[in-house]
Amino acid sequence: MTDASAERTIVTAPDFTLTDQSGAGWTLSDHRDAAVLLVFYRGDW
Amino acid sequence: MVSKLALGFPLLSDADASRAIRPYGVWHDERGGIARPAVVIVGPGGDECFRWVARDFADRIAEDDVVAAVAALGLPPVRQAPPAAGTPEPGDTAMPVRALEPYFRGARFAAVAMGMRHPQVKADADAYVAEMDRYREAARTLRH
Repeated sequence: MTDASAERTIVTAPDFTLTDQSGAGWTLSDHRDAAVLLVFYRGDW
Repeated sequence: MVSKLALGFPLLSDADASRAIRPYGVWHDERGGIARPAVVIVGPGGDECFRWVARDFADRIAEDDVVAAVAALGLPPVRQAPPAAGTPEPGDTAMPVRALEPYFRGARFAAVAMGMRHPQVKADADAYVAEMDRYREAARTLRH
């Protein structure tokens, strides 16, 4: 199921730096040598 | 949770939703505001080449669709060492593995009934039933 309003043409993915589970920074643009699968989820519960 | 579940990928936190959740357009102003479940594939050049965004918190993409989207990139396979086995640390609300199959079976029956009673949501219910069948199959393959 896809939210039609979320459809958009190919764009440069916004770069970001976030903290991983060990407290280290993880930056999207450091991974240009590979494809990256980003999965957004609400977190643990 | 990475070690608890022996995940082979990092878990990143965007606690205030400002760095990735909002820039990627997956914020949802429901239930106090949460990220919609979403999958985005960023190609080697940094372009976004696949995106799936849930309508609400309950939607999930089919695993096969994610695999197909990755395969469509035509990239060479990458060999990766399996994650080290973690030590299970189930919390108070953890469901035992043996409970997963009957849990998904119950959810499946509820969706079947909803689809029968309400024809206007039949297609949605059918998709959910198929999802529960995939989860039941996965639960059956888990080691107890």
